[in-house]
Amino acid sequence: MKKKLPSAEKKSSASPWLSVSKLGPVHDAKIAFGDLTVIVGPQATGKSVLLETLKLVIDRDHVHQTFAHHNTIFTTGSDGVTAFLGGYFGKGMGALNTLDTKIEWSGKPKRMAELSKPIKRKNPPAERVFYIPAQRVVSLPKGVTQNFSNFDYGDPYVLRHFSDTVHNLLQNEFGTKAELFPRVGRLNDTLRKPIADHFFGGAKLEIDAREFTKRLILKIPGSDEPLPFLAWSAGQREFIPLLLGLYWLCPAGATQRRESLEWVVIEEPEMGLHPLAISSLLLLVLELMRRDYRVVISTHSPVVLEMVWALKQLQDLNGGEIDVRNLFGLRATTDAKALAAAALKKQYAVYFFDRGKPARDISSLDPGATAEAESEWGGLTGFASRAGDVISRAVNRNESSMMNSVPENETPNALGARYVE
Amino acid sequence: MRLERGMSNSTGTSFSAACAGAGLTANAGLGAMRRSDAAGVAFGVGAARVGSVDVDAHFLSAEPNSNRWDYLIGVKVGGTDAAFWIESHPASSTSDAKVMLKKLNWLKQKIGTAGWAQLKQLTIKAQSHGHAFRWFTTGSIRIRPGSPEALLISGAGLDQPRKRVQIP
Repeated sequence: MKKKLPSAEKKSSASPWLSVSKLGPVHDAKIAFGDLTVIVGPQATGKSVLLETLKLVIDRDHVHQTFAHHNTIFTTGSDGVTAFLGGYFGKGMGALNTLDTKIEWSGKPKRMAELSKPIKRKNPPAERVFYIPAQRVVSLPKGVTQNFSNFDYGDPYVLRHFSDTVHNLLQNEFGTKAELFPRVGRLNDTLRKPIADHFFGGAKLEIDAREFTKRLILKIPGSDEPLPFLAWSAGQREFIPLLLGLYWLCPAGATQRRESLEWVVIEEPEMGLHPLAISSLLLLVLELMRRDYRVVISTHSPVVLEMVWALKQLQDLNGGEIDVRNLFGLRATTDAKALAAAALKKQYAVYFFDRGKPARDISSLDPGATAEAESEWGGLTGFASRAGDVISRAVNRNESSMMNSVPENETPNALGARYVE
Repeated sequence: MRLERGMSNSTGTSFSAACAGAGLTANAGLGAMRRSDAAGVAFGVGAARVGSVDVDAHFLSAEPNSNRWDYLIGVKVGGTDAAFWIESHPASSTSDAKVMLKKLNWLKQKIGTAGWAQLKQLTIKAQSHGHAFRWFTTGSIRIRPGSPEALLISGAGLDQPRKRVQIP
């Protein structure tokens, strides 16, 4: 039986929201978070800055505690704020914060100057947001995990801390055991099989401790030599740090969630992945939601929005778990049914970040919406729309020109243009 | 350019003459349309409504089981009449796309007949302004850009379903 969370840790029924304006590339964003919130938009529109700000407002104490644990202390005063921002968001990002910057977390104003200072507490709050950064592949150079101190000041905190967490997972939780995937007790068959099919193609992910360094390798069936990290596909290199993060979030046994964690942020989970692999990965996102994590994803993939659109449509149409299973091609197992049923009970939100404009709620994902930002899913289906429009017009032009110049013996076209005898 | 019998080489083929030639009865303005459908049609700058025909009603008794098209709208653009064809049909399911393609095929067969030669010319005129064949819907749209159904629609020369049709 799964361990239930104490009632004090259960999420409030009111949606939390974050408002950020004039923070670097974030023009003006007010995000009301659902159980799954998806953020889309072109590069350099502030998506990462917003997500990292979310982490900071929730986990400010833990962030400072982590820096201090690794002997990084920021001075007080305005220099300290700039130094902290450079250490947290990345070098050079100290200028993000200006006098016009406004941050509000569920109605409470937050100032960057306050967030940049540690507060001594007897029992600092535990971490609540697990952040899987876009640069996660950097956490595994040559297949070797890295701890916090392997990075430099100015490397984003979310990368350093994610890397450190994965390092601890491999060093401690998996210890001497070589097999990482597939692995008994980690992820049920409903989740494991699509990953095996679409990411590994029969290969096994293992820890190789030869040469006195724990290194991730892929063992290919029929081959004695393992495949080193740099020989993996781009998608495998991007996915495996994500998989390790998910192992952290989905502990073995009956434990529903990892310690105090409530939120999961995943940046661009689709990197390097075929749409079939993305749909397998989305099952893991549904699993996180089934475990009552609140998930936030930034993405450039239409597949992610197609899932959100389909689930919201099924909610409106009183769809059942069988529809969700059909969406993902899942058999009617107990785990699959539970996963599918849970997905239909969740709230979904989608926001579009555009350059120099306020972030826009496009949660309805209505292909017929008047506003292009919504009908074209924040630009993700814009090219497909234009392709359809261009072809439709070309078909019309072609039919028109055929009607106006019909040579002898030409067969009738769709508009019935006929030759004259 | 080869001319078929009944065609005019005048750029001024009128909508009313074209309808008469096809045996269709034109109403003034958008009078042939149901009010709820007419409300979804907007006209661009410089475009003036000339008349409308309820094509579906015209062929109902003769072809009760055919996939009949709904409306013909005559619009004057740049001083000349053009024929736009509007179908009011749900787009709440991908199967609606297949029905629309059948209706479009039915319509194009009609336009290809001898008596419709002038309407054909006015349709060509409409095509020069963009889409002559338009899909209007009031309900949910569940045909997404890039989907197989959307590609079929484009490949047939039909505009994607819209909750508001702007002519031209």
